[in-house]
Amino acid sequence: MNEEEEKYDLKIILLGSSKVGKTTLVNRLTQGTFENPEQTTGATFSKKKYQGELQEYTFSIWDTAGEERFDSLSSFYCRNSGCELILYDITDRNSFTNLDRFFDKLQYTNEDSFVILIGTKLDLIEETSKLRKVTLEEGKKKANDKNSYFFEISSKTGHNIQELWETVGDLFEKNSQKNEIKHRQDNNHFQINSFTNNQKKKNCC
Amino acid sequence: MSDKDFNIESDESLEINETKTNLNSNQETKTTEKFDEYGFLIDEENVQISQKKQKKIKSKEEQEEKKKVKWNQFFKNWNFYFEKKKKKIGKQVIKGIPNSLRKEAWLRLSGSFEMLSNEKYSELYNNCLKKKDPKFQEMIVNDVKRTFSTNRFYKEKDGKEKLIRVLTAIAAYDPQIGYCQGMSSIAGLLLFYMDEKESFLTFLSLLERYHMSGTFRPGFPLILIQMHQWKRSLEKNLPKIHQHFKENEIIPEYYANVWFITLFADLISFDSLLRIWDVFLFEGFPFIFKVGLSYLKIFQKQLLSFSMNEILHKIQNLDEFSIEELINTANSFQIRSEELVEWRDEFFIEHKNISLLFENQK
Repeated sequence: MNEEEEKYDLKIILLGSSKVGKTTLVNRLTQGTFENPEQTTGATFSKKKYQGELQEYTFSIWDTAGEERFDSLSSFYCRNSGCELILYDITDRNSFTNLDRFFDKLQYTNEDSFVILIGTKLDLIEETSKLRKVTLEEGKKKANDKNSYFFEISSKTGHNIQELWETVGDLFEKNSQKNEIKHRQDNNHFQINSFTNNQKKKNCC
Repeated sequence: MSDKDFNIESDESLEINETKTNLNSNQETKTTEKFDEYGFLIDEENVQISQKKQKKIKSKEEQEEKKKVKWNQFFKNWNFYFEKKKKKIGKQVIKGIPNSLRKEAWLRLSGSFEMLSNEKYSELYNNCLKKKDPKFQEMIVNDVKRTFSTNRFYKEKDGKEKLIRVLTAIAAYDPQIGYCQGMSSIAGLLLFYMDEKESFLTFLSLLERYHMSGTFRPGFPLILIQMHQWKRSLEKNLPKIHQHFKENEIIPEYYANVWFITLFADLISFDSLLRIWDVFLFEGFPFIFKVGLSYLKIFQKQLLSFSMNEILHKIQNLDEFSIEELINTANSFQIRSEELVEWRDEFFIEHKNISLLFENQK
């Protein structure tokens, strides 16, 4: 039973500078609440169900500490990650200029993982756009350069949260369909020549 | 300083044994918010539990009186007990230190009591405050806002400012270490019981006597070593769990490193945290290993039936146990210092760069 569950599981990891709203986003996604959380040290783990087209999946969400010093630890958490949410705060320029630090982490994640760049705290600029320090275009361009998807969100108002979650789910389903086809091909191949296939498997693990 | 000075100090301190902590300070509260005995905001849902707890506390009062007598006896002649009758103190820290004596006990167990009367340290706090490194200021302020944030003491400006100052001084003390996340929970806990200078010196004692400078230094060298030691201690003491974790690809870095970085501050309920610290300050890091083992042992059956996600979920929600059981089970494990050294050296063989880093520090 567990095996089946694990097979369809997606590991999502949240990356981004300190104070950009990683834990707040996790709380919004998993509990539907908005509150000021305590700081995250190391990584915190939570899960959320996703209703796919044909079945329900369980996604695990890994929240990490944003401080630069913790980078050496977050490489561990990237193992087997299939989806990376990289966050910056649209009212904090530094959190945007720092982003490459987190894109560098992608070397530790799954080969076929997908990345979503997320600008947070959209609610703060609703009253006065003066607070905005990163334009929508800059965000989009960065995402484009890094071959990533892009959203601006507010965990406070819930703006774009549902859309973000649906996108994660869609991309995951597309990915797993692709993998299934590949898996089937691999299996056919296995019947033809079991020896080479075994070797192949070793390499990819 | 000499032992003689030390004893004089400890005699004088007898008069102030029952200290008022920042946890139960009678600050005015603006709203109808309710707080528990440690000053933490009570969720309406949890009010009933808290009343139950209070009944329990009453029945414990007698026991507490007995403990106080013992601790006062220790304080009267601390050096004698700490050097010659260490086991007696060890027995008492396992039982838990009476809250009103906790500050005095923690100062002595950590060694900061000696530092307080040492001239070398008398101006250190103020000097470090003056040296403050603006680089860390923003981070410190941000983290203080989210440290024990449901506690009455840190809801007030005064408490926050005190914690900011203590962390500022710590960050300036050793520029190579500076400020690192995790420090605020530890300093925040000390400041519940101690004044700023005492909290600062106790933190320095953690950095030096308990080697936590290696915990917070960039690259977390001590944490890397401890993760290897943890893996080996798990293998030795709970081989089934070790094997099960291995099969489920659970590495210690996924769950155990935070135990060693924050010493459980922020991770478990406050009264459990205090009990762990009572023993940690006496025994040092071996006790953190024991607490980890104890926790996994208590939930061994469940953990063995779980796969990766459930295991990690369970380990992170460290709250559904009796603290007595956790402490007593922890106390039943043995972590010998020779083992820790052996496992550390094992790690050094594979990671020569980190071994060099440690050499340089000495």
